[in-house]
Amino acid sequence: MGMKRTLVLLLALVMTMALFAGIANSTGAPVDIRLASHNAVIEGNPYRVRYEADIQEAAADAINYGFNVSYASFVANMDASTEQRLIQNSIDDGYDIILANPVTATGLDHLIEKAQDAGILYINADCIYTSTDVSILNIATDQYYLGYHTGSYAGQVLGEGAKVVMIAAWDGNPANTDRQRGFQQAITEYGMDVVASGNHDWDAAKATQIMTEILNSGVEFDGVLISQCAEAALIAFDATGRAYPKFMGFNDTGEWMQRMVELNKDERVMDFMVLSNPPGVGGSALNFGLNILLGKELREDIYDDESISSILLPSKIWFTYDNMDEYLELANTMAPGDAITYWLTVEEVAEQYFK
Amino acid sequence: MGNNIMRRWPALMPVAISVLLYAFTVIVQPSALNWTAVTSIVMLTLLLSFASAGQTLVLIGGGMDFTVGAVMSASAILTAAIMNSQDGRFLPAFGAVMVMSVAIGLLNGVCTVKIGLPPLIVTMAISNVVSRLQYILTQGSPLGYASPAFIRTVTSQLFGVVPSLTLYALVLFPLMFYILNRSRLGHQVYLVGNNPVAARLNGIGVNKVVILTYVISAVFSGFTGMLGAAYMQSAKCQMFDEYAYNSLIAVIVGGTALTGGVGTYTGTIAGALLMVVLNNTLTTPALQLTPPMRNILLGLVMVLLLILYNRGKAVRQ
Repeated sequence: MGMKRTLVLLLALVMTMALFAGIANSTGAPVDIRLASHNAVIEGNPYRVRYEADIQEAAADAINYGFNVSYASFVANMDASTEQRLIQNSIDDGYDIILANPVTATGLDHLIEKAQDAGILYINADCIYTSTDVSILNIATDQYYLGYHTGSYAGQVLGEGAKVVMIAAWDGNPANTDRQRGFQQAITEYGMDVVASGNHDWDAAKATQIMTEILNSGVEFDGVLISQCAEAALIAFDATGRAYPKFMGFNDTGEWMQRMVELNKDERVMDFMVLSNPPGVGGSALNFGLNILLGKELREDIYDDESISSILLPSKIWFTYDNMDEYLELANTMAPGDAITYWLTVEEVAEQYFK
Repeated sequence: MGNNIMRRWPALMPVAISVLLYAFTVIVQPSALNWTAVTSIVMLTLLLSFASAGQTLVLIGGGMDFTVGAVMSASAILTAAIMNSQDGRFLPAFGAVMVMSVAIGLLNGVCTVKIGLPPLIVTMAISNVVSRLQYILTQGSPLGYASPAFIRTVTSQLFGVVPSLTLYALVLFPLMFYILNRSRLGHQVYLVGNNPVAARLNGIGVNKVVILTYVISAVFSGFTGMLGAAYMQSAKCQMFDEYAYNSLIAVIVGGTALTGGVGTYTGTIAGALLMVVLNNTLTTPALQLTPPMRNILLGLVMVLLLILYNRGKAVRQ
């Protein structure tokens, strides 16, 4: 009898340990997770290079939560058919999580269903997959906020009725569209007047060129609202010898921060906005996935659009002249082309988005 | 009569169109008549005409160089990385850029004459390789800044009015005019471009001449990339890629025949001016053109100009 009881207790202990081995804990062996990160493009885009690096960092950090995440990256080079083939391969290879930043916002329904049927957790990261026929998590940065926050701050420092130049990024790009909605909302709220506009297509040389051409037109303005590439637009003022505007923003690179810190080190020369659009959003998306694997349940009030399960993460880091001192070290230690980045840890994601 | 004038003074038409376009800009936006606009138009024209110098030589010799933009971007990256905000590092940066440029130019030239593929294909492929190498070197992120002194030599204004970039023009323009109009190589380039078979029968080393045009083109592109790094202060991958197309259009609009054998550097400078003024006009706020409409108009005007020059070329032949 005593022997039976001992065996039952031993069995219960083994089962408990096995159960704990299946989820995160600090003492048991970590659970092996295979992650496939699918990208529309990486090369040619420093943001995407950093995005991948941050996913790798987040994957390495997962060991602290009981996961041994092995990582593989796949790039479709903007070719939708290549993307489909690569995702199909990942399904066949039996990955545990597929993290996708796809070429287009639709067209992968059949593969998503296949992945889910195979028990793979499929998460769309850094953009919104708009199909309502499949149910997946969409994790992206709140681009509307970037435009609105910058525009609102410009409205406050320039005052109502200020004349501004609006330089957008890439027409037709979803992130640009959302940012422009934010900028436009702030422009309307603060009664600003857009006296000239252009696009830089996320190309520094083009940003300088378009700003130079606007300066050449002789049009008078108080501030420049720009969807990143701000340091390149500022070069146009240096090259033409024109006085700086009263406000310029936003951007998130080391180069922009260093220039703003240097320019305003003695006194307020030009108001500006540093605002992060973190490439680490992919790392955060991975940690949403790990929380789901831990069996946690997402809260109901966190969705931007519940029909497509989209969660937009607000930018965490921003600074202007007023709180510049808090970010001097960050500004001075970043490489010129690096963008401010961070990703939410498994714990932070759990606290903010899960029950 | 019109074609005769164009043949004699190929720079005349682009200059005339540029003046008309600028006048139109001033009429619709009177504030556009200001010294800042004039100096920045001069600066951008100089940069594009430096980048187009080698392209002119290559086109006259019957080739085409699509590595101009890639070489400019790569040399800008090298310049910023080597200078890293430190004065006194011009010579190491210049040396590295020249070695790289000569190597790429040799590769362009040798592949063109030995493989026998169209220069467009060969140079586009090599341009692609040069662009990929930029990412390998930088991981997609800028590595540093040009030195403050070098930046000043490009962006400051002499006596507060003349762009300092004109000092470089005082060296580069005469050099290019000498190569094209006074040197033995220049004469040989025209002959090779006109009729390579006849040139060979006259004892000209056609392959050697063609290879040299690509090397000179890469050297001009490389040096312009250095100036570009100073103008932009730092450098990013593929930053000047558009110069591959812009230089080609500037050269063609300036009257150089795509078929080779015909062309002048004066025409190229005028073509560069027209490109810059046209872009400037289309951005004029008073026209209220949306960015897509601006791009469509730019494309249409370019097509019109190229048709116009193609007609001129047919008459010449």
